[in-house]
Amino acid sequence: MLKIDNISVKIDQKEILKGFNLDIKLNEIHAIMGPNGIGKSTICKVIMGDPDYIVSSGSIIYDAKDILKMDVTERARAGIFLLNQSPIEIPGVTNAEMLRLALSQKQGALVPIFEFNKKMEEICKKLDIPKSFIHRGINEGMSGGERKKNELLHLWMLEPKFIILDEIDSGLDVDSLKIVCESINEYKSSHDCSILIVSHHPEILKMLKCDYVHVLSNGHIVQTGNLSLAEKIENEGYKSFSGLNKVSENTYEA
Amino acid sequence: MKHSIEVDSIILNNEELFIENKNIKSIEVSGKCILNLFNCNIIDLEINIQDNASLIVNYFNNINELNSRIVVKANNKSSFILNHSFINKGKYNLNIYTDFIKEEANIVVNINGINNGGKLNADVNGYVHTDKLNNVLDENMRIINLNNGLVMSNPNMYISTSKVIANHNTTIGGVRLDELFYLMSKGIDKKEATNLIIKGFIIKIIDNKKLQNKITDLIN
Ligand SMILES: Nc1ncnc2c1ncn2[C@@H]1O[C@H](COP(=O)(O)OP(=O)(O)OP(=O)(O)O)[C@@H](O)[C@H]1O
Ligand SMILES: [Mg+2]
Repeated sequence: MLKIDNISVKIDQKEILKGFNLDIKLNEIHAIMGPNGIGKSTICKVIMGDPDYIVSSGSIIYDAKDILKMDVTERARAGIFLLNQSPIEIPGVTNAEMLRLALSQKQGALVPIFEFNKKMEEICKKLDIPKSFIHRGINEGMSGGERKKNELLHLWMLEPKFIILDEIDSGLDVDSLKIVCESINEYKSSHDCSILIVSHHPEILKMLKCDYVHVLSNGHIVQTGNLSLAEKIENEGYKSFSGLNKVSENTYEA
Repeated sequence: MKHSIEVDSIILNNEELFIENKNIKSIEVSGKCILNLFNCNIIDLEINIQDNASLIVNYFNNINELNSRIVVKANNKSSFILNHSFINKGKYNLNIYTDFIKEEANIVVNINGINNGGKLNADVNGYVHTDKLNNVLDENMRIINLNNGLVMSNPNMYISTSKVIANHNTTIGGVRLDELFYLMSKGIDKKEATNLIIKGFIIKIIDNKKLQNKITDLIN
């Protein structure tokens, strides 16, 4: 479904990813782990098409399309969805108007308001967020955990096929983590989709029954395993992984 | 609701008013008041907030050409908040003067403006004199400048006392790119995403639902 082949990525002249490969098939869940500042969020934003990140070589093929040639909107309409590590707020633009516009544009016809509202309300209930979020400014004045749930509301409405979850578990209390995982599992069982998840904790990877765990270092994936790899990291940290260094100025000076 | 509108001048006493397409010259305020203005022509306006009174003005204007001068006098323990947003496609000269007449008053000026290819000159002048103690002055001006518009902006503070908290900041730039990326990542095209951001920017400082809806209708 998504194949990343040997990409290099720069930001501000600094090379963050180099020789990065990843192959995710339909209905698989892949996790990326790695120390802070190693490039996990970078790969998430690169897939979505954040123009701040320059892909200097390699390719990303999604659904047989070269997405590096597509802009952010086209990628989203093709079914890619990014749940950011720290979702921004846009006061003055409500969830409802943003989602209705997004859906209308994608479908080429106005979304009927009644069904739209009904679906939004159902999802709010499932995610245990107040209905008032529907007409609230996007993430406006919301706590870290509330923002993650609000973004999940967007996911359910937009129904993407390739889902990127960048530390969705950070900022969630135990109950919310459970609700969020149940919601993602429900989505997954009712939709054909793949998930790329970034997390520092094995807990959520277990709850989502992650198929593969990758360790990112030196700009690319240095080890791939299953959930036991996440456990190992939890117990031993990243020290035991051979050749693990943070991206350092002298290694990849542009 | 008890209120009296004379020609061009308004006397407010503990009330909220919505005014559309009028010319306003003076506002006299006692008690707690809110004034919502939609496309009103303000050419030369004087606002006087009496002791212990407060006024919130939510003011939107769609401008082709306007020379505007607003003078605010805040008396003892009074409070004045101006939330002004605008879209300027032509020539907009805005001059705001705020002055504390006595002590312990609050003046906040929030301006969010879109300068769409126009010529904008926005000056906010805040005075705090030597013998006027414990006043708070806060000026925030944010301008999104589009289509090669020209912006001249001067937030000025004339302060001759240390017993004051005064703050001003001005930001002039384009549409925020992180917001654009965010909305596009939901599947909205660049043009519509830009429109949404502009709409949000214009209404987010307006603290009145009816006025927000009017602005939204106008922009759509
Ligand atoms: N916009 C930017 N400008 C400059 N440097 C950046 C920018 N974004 C990321 N970086 C740098 O790129 C590197 C990788 O950042 P990234 O956010 O991908 O790390 P991460 O692995 O997600 O870390 P964390 O676990 O803390 O979230 C860091 O050194 C970071 O400082
Ligand atoms: Mg990160």
